[in-house]
Amino acid sequence: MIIQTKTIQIQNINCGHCTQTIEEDIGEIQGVKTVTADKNTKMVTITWDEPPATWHTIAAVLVDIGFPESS
Amino acid sequence: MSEQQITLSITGMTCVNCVRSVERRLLKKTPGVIAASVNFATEKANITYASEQITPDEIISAIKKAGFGVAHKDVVPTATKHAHKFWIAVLFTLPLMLLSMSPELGRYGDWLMLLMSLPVQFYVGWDFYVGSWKSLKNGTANMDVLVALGTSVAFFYSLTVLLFPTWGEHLYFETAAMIITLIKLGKWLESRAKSQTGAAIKKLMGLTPKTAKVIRDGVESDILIDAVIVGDIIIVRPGEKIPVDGFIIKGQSTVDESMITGESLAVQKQINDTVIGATLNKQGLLKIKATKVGKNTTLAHIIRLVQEAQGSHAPIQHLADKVASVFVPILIGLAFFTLFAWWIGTDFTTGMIRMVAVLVIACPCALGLATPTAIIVGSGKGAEHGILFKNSDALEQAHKLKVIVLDKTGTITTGKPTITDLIVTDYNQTKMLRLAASAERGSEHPLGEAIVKYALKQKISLSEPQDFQAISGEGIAATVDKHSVVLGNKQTLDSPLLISELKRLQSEAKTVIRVSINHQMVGLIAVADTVKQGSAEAVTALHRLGLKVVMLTGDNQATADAIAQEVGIQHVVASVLPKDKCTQIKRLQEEYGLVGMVGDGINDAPALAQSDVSMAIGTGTDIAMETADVTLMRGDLRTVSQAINISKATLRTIKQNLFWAFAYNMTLIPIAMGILYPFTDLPMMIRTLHPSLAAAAMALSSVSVVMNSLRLKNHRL
Repeated sequence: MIIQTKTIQIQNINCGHCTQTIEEDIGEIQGVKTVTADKNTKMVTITWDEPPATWHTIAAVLVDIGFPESS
Repeated sequence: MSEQQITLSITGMTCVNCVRSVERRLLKKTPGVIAASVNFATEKANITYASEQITPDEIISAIKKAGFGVAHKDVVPTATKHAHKFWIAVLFTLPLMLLSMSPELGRYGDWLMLLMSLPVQFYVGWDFYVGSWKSLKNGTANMDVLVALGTSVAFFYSLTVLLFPTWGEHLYFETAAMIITLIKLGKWLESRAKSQTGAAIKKLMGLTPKTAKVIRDGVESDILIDAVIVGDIIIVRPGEKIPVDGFIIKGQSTVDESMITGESLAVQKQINDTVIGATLNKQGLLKIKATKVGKNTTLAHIIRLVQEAQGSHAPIQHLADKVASVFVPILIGLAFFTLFAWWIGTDFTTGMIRMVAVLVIACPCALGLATPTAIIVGSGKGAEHGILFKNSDALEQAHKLKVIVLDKTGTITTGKPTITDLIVTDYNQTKMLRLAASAERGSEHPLGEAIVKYALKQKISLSEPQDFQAISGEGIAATVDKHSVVLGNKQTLDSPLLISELKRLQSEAKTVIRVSINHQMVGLIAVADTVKQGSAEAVTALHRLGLKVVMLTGDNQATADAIAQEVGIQHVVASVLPKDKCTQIKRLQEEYGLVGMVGDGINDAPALAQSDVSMAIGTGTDIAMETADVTLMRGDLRTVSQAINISKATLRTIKQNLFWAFAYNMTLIPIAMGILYPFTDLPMMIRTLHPSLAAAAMALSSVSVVMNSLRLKNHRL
């Protein structure tokens, strides 16, 4: 079992409510270990280990909740 | 499955993403919620839910879990609640009355009556006990105290007699129940009518478009209105509402702005013109750039203003409250006096029944309704015509004004210079205009812009100027189509026609531009700030209302006089520095009394603040609108007299309401006390006013006051 970590930037983060939404909704995906979102830097760090948590599903949920990864 | 609707006020939404957070929380994570739409601007959430699966309280706690607050819930409209309780009361009161008319049932009938009256007294009537408790806790006594006291006296007297039959003979369970039923009926009708008084604001809220077609990264997509951000490019097709405030970057059209400004004629719009959210694009395809979204749009601003005005207490309301607070204790005193007087004169039961009648008839609830209902209807009426009262104080004061001070530039006039005269010697007029306007194309001077605009309006095609030269303070020179063109104020005039015309135009306080082509004087162009359409009419209307109209301006006397004469103002104060405008208002206040001021600019703000009722032109600066008590959304001076008319009509309605509410109490209280009893010619019903008849009369009085306020809606301006 490999623990993976990824840090991304989400420009759409504006306030504490946004970070709360991201932390809760991503945290609910089975297999996701930690989610930390910072409203000042707009950076989100996610760690996960096994499916269904994959980067693919996490990214899809982020798009779904209105906070897609900024490219 | 039964679907229910609920509207909640959400607090703590800091950005547009929050809207999605709330909606998602409700739709995806709260079973039982069928639909949810949250508006960032109004901070309201409309939620449809299945009542078998979830309660409103569970919905609220779900929202709170997402990190937001719920200001207040409005689960069931008050009218529905009252209706529900009224029908329950009827259900028990009707058999109760039949029982009271059937003495043959004896003791069983009496106990059955107690059983029937319990739900009416303590379920339907519970609101009155709660209301009294709240009021007494604050050291005041309101109408609930009177109702609760009156019906309790009747109820507990009957209960005592039922338990100790030797103490009395008649039971009054049905009287207490009847009073509660009738007053509930009154409350129901009243809240139904009241919800109509707020119709104007509901109409405004309904105007907000739901979605916008936004182009982001070259892709056109429909997004929720709350997700639109400043700087977004939005496409508005003909027949669609413009979603947010912005300006046109492509296309032209006519726009129906009547919902915001009250102006019924559609307005021509072209590139760079500003557009207002919620207005209707009629003909052309428009591309606009958003400048104000969410809470900051004109519409959201209007809704907030109207809500605040309707919620603010008018001074006259304080008077009514004060009167009511003295009124109720006095009436309780009178009621006890009635009890004792009749007790000594006849017997306890008669005294008690009289006392109940007095308590019930005395309810000053018509008094409490008199002012707020009129204010709500009055300010709603104003909003419909593009007149926004920021507080009810202004609504009440406006009709008392003695003097109206009008700012000149931007208020009486359009504030934009336009061409008024074209004088030519023997040169072709169109050609002169074409060459002059082409030369001015390079200029950024307002006078130059006026000439270019005028030429374009005449559909004259312009050429590109060459060798453009601006001579500061004197004019410009350029070569257009091989003609050397000079526009200025220094060239020597040689033709007698031009000399005399120049004198005439200058006497009319117009700015005159001399035009020479190929070193030959060919004509004059006169430019002036023109009077707005309707300004003269507005002044006449104000004079007709008996007001003194004063023009206040920083411009020179000649210009000021020329405009004043055109619109019919006799009193002109010219060459006033911005800081002295305030002093001028003070002077007028000392001399004449209440002064109203109408202005549009930043320089008017101190004067607006000093005046008793200030009105800002809605097309002017934001600071003027922030300062002013009244905003005239349509930049039309004619609305000033309309505002005063609304004030007059509202005050008249309030006074009528107060008069009727008082008159009703003053006449019926003595009758309830039994003053007419000795007049044996009168029908028994009036000689001894029965408590349930008193209850019917008082319900009627509240309803009539609300109906009278609603009449304001049809008042003609």
